[in-house]
Amino acid sequence: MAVAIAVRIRFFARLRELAGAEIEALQVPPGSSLADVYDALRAKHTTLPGRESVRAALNQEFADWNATVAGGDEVAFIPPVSGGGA
Amino acid sequence: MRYDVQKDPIDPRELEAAVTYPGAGAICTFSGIVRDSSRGQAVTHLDYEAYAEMAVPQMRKIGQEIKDRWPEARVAMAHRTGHLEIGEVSVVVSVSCPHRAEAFEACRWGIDRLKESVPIWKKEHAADGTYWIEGDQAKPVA
Repeated sequence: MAVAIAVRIRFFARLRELAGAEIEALQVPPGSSLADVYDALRAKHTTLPGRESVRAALNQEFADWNATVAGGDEVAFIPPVSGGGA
Repeated sequence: MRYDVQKDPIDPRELEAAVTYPGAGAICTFSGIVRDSSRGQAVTHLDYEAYAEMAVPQMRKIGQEIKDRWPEARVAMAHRTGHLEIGEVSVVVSVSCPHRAEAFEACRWGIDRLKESVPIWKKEHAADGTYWIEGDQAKPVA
């Protein structure tokens, strides 16, 4: 039985700059949720903002924080998009 | 239907050509333009960054939502990425319908949804510094 699964993390915009990476491979325990993944990333990149100000995407779709990740999944944490403006 | 995230300039006429059909009596096209000021500050230029593999499917989803509400509508959307100067077109939503009322409504709905749910971010280079625009907030670049 696997003790860890690998997910691919993608960072964009301000989060990319805060994390200092565009793509990162992360090992998490099987059964981890998107919230668990984000908490693990925040432990590593301490300047990442709190969960309340980002949305999670799993395999290129917005997803709930309690969604479970699987090996090989693409996970992205998405800051609020541009809004207003024009 | 046509959905693009592109580095090259957007020609709104091309999107209109993509949505036109014989039964369409109205085409409504919204073009978002890079403005020379923001938050009371002069803006010199913008950089847009996209999660393109997600942005295009999100645009397609919005196009489908428009079709669900206005079944006769045809939709095209495009968003620029990279460095944009003042006056350049950053985003275009074009919708055709049999009549103008639903074309205006559907186009407005489409650009509003795009701005809240398509993962594309704007970095603003202004007189007082450089900011990531996140919704209604401007966050200084560290």
